[in-house]
Amino acid sequence: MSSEVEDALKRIQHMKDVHGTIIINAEGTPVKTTLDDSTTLQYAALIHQLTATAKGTIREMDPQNDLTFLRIRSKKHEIMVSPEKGFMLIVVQNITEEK
Amino acid sequence: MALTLLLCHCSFIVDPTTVKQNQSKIFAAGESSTGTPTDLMSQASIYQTGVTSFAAPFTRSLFGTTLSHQSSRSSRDSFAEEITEPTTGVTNIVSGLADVQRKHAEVREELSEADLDKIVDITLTESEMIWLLDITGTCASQETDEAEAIRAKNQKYTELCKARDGNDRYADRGMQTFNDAPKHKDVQTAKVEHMDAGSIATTWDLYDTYNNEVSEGTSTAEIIPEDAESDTFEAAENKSSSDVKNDSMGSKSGGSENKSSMLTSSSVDMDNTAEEQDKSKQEHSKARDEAILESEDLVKDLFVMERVVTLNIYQAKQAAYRGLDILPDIDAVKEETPEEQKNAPVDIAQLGPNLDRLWAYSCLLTKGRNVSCMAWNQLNPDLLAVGYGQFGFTEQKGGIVCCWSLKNPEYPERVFQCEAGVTALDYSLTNENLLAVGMYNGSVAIYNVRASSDEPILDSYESRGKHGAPVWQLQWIDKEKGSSGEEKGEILVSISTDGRVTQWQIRKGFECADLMKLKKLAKATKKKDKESKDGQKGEAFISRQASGLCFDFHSGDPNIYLAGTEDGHIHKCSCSYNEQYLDSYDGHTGAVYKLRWSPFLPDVFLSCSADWSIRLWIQNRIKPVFNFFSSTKSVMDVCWSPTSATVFGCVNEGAVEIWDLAVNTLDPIIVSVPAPGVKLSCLLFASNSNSLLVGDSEGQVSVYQLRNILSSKTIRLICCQISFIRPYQASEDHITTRMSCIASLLHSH
Repeated sequence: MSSEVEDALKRIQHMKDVHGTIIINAEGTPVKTTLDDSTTLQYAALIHQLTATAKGTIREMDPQNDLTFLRIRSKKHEIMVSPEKGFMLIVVQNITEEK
Repeated sequence: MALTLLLCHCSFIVDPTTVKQNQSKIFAAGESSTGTPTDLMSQASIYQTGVTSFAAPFTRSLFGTTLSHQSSRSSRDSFAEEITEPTTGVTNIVSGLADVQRKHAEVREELSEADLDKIVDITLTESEMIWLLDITGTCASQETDEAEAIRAKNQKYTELCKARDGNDRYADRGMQTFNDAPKHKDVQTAKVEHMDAGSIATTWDLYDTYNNEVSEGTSTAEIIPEDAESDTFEAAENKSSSDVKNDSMGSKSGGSENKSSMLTSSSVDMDNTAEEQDKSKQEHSKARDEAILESEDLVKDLFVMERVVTLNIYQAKQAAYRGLDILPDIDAVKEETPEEQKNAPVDIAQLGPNLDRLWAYSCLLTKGRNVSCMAWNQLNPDLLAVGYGQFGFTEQKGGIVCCWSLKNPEYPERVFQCEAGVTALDYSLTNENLLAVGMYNGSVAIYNVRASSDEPILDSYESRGKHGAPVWQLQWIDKEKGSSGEEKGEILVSISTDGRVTQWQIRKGFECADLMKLKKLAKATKKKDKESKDGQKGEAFISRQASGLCFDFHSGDPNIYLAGTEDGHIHKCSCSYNEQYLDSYDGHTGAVYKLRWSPFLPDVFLSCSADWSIRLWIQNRIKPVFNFFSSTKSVMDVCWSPTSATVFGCVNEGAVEIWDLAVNTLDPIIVSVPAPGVKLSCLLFASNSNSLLVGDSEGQVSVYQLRNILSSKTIRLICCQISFIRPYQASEDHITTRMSCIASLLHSH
């Protein structure tokens, strides 16, 4: 793994409130992860499906369009997904509380 | 003579009511036969006329066969394969005939008078013809050689037929077929595999397929990992063949060996054993995973993701930076008590002018380094270049230049490592990707921020006129009309401790030319001897060169600039004269660290120095108009506010001070003290935001937002102030009185 990639991943992982980062390949199997196995597998499977649906939705409306980024914000977390042709990058961040 | 045994099978069920039909059918068949009607008729007649010696065994045999066959339909079926109705066949007909033979008699008995009068519907349908034997007759001409032979043969045959009846040569014989016991035989086949393959024909799938067909011929062999859908689909489609796959439906382009072998391994292939399949699968998936981690796309994605995560963290601060309202997160858990809520909105308005620290640009790379200079990018005001280098001679270590983006305060976008501490920075005006860097060892380098390499595109290492001492300031000047008349475009001007103001040009190489050699001036003890040379009157100098520390070009006239020296003199110079100063300003008693022309007033400039003071000057007055003393530490940097004409900020080692001349000329309106142990070193106002950047000796660049600073009437006020000053003659004794007058004037407005 190139050092650039490693450094960037490390930086993201150590950012404030980042819960975990997962990289999954085209089939939905995790390639690299910082979370535990069961959580990783869950995220991988569910997010993979959701992203496929989202991508299908966008492209169904206009086949020349494509999904570039997906953010799911919930009460506790925000899941940020960057889909690519052969893999997917998922980052889960806790919601920071503004005071 | 053709012998044709015709069979017209009739669709009938053997029952009394339809027997009549059969009878008629047979007759009809007999009449309509195209073969030899005589034969059929003779047969029919044979059957009809009852049991003859010839027919009897025939019928008996038939009967026997039919009886035996009636039970088993299979032989009938096998015999008459092509017949659609199962109840027909030769034997059937014959049996029918035989039955007719028998039942005919029976039926005759059963018929009553009433029945004879009934109208019976007879349906005649033509059925299939089954050819059992077809020996077509041949005709030969009578004149051929063989005609005689044929005639003889024919003759012989007719005689044979006639003589057959009672001939000894022919004996009737009956035959019986053996009915073997039926045997059940089971055959087992492998289970027929069923697989459901479904596909949803989505719009984008169709689009992709058409596009791939178009680009098939020009596609290069890339190892592109496929997605799950196409894999399983292709596995379903291409089970046994192993060399297909390039034109599978709805999949990516490419025809690399890797891909096809992956497919063969992942498809249900009869050739590979299960183990081999798994192994190759694993290896391929590992290779693919490695490829993912090395790919360019991942780097890009990580870059974007980093910024997205940063946005989440810094969103409120960045909104404040931009001057946008900070919207509270509606989903955030509210933990404030009612008391706090009341107090919070009141406090901010009551505080008065203050600095609100938003965030700090810093990372591990910059920790411990002194921030020496900062510069905004001309094109994108969100990009900041920060130079890190120690000021002292003994503390020298290497320097770095970091290009920070507003979008990510935690890691710089670009990092350039320099061999010496960085002391000056400036972004070019015309080519916004060029960054000029001045270093402690006197070298000037130009970096291309857009390029991915870390090497400077130009370096002054080989220039003959390079500086021998630290370069303290760099500035790109856009000259419309240069001193020699032919220069157009930008030049880079630098000043350094070796006493020269040099201009650099990027022509063939990195050319430099001296704009000015700073000469030392004696301190003005007498009014007349303002400029003394050669040290005749006044001090004797060791070196005639004065060390230059800062300069600033006039915004209106790019030929005029101010230079500040280590002795405390400020000289007004012109690019046209490189020997003499136009003017010298006398006031500072320590090294002048920074000079700044006011962005609003064309004749006013500020200077800050090591003598703990900041002085305000007007261009045509030798003595300073205002002196600001606020601390006992040397002032490192001073900067005018880009939005207010009377506001400027300065930084000394211990604090950040914001002065507002419209409010108070004696004290700064804001004094902000950083964490203990940290020395502040430079200051920069943001052009697109109400913020201030302060660099310190720990490698942090803190962003402060200015709040509650009035900026509306200032321009008018300072103009009034200047107009009142001009009639007065400068006199050192009257400085204080003048200042108080002006102060009162300001306050009255």
